[in-house]
Amino acid sequence: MEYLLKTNALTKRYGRHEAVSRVSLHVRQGDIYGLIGRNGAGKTTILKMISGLAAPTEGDFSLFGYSGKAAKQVLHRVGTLIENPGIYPNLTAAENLRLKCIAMGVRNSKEMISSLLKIVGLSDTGRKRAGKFSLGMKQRLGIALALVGEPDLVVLDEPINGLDPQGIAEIREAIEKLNREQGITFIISSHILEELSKMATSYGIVHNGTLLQELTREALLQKCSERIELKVDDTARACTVLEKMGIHEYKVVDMDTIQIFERLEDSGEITVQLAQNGIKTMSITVKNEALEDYYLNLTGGAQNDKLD
Amino acid sequence: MTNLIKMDLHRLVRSVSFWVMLVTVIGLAFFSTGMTKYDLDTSTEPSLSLEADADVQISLGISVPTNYEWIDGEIPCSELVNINFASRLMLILCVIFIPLFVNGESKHGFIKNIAGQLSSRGLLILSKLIAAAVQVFIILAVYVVFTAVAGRIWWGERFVPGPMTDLLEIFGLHYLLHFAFGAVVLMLTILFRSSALSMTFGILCSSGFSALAYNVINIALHSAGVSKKFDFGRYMIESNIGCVTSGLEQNDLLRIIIVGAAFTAVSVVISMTVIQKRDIR
Repeated sequence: MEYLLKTNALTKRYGRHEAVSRVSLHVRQGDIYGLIGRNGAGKTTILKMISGLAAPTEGDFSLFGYSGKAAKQVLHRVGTLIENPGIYPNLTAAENLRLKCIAMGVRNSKEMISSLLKIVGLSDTGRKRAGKFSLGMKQRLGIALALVGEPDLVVLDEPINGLDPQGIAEIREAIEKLNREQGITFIISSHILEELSKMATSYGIVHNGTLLQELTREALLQKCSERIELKVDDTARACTVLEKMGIHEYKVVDMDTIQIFERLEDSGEITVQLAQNGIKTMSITVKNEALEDYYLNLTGGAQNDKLD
Repeated sequence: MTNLIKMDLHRLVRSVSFWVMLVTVIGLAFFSTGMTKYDLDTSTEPSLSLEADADVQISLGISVPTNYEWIDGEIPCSELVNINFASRLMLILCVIFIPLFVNGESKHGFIKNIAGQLSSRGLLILSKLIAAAVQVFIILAVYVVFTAVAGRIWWGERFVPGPMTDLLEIFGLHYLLHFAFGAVVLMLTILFRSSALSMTFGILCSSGFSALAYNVINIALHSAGVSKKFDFGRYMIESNIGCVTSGLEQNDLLRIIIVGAAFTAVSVVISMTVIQKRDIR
């Protein structure tokens, strides 16, 4: 498969500290790629390297089919919002955008500025200086700046930080619209997993500077799918009963827990069958693992949290 | 490259500091000329203190000397401008406003919006250098214009333009040296990632404090066997600013040009290398 962005064992060291270790990402054309990880996981460093703002200590990446030095020549097709939005506080939103338009050599800058301000919902800011903007407004302006010059790939680092729920929804809609209508590929990092899960089509899970897993939305949904969680006094005999009932998609998790992934509506009948076979049911619940739980399980979750 | 220059010039004229700088330059032109007039009006002969000053090796702070031949005679604009430039009054403005402008892009993080998309980050330095060159030109040119306006107001017909070649020579040499010093301050701003440190360095040099260091270096060099005639300060920018006059000897003229060009070139190379190698914060 041809990837729009492919990193090859990207590594970044600051002295002895390895912030990013051999990360190999695969981003397809048209993806909204969600880079998931806790604060300090290495997301920003990865994004800085693929945006040309930081040089990798080791490894490289290919972009739009170009690799090595040639990849750097196509970085002008990448728009970025890394960490805090980089804006001049004494200029208005339009003036900030105008500066980037000039730097990027955009010809129809007036139309582009007006269109970008509309996309991010800042059309009515007029002569208000960006320094007087709320955190959310600054964030929107940062996103608009990343979109100047009609980039093919937009890298957004924590773009919904500081936005209120309505603002988050508006930005999500804007990203989805740009992705759908203009075919812009997005790489979005966030630690707000539920929000990311609403728009991402692929995921990369980063923990302690390493990429733990890459998966598509479909694969993730499957992993986070609904299931019956059954606690019984004898899992071996319970499995025999399930087999007899024609239930084959199940998994024995521990000594007294079985997860069943099919016939979720038949929990009542399962209990009856188990009872008729002399198996004691301690509990039976229908569970749906959230992305957050999946992430925590993958990264060692609660155990790691205690180390913080 | 052209786009970056356009962007920096666009930002320059829209920055508050640019307009503050212009007002300050105009104010200083009137203030300094006014002080010269006051000096001439209240003196009838050269003061003893000024004669004594001539023997002093190091002078700290900024002072604009007065030519007492002007008490009754004509006051040429070129001479008045030269003593003002040579006093490093305008150099102080250059070392304050250049770092403010150069560091703005990093301070506010705007650099992150553009640095990754450039074929070479060194271009950022070249565009800043051109913006600094424009800034220095505006500072000096506005100062000349308003000194002429103030001179005409204070002295009327006694204030004359002086030979245009002298004015152009003085302006050209001062422009080169002020710009070179601006390039050094730009380099320090990039190196330290701070406008405060580079400004402090620039202000101390402009105020004559660097002469103390040059004296120590001279003593060390002389004791190491280097000829007593050798003066380290002669090859430094701010010392040369004080040496500019009209009708310089060819050796002095050449030295000033080489010092200005060399400091500019070295500063640009170092700044470009640093910004190219360093990650953007």
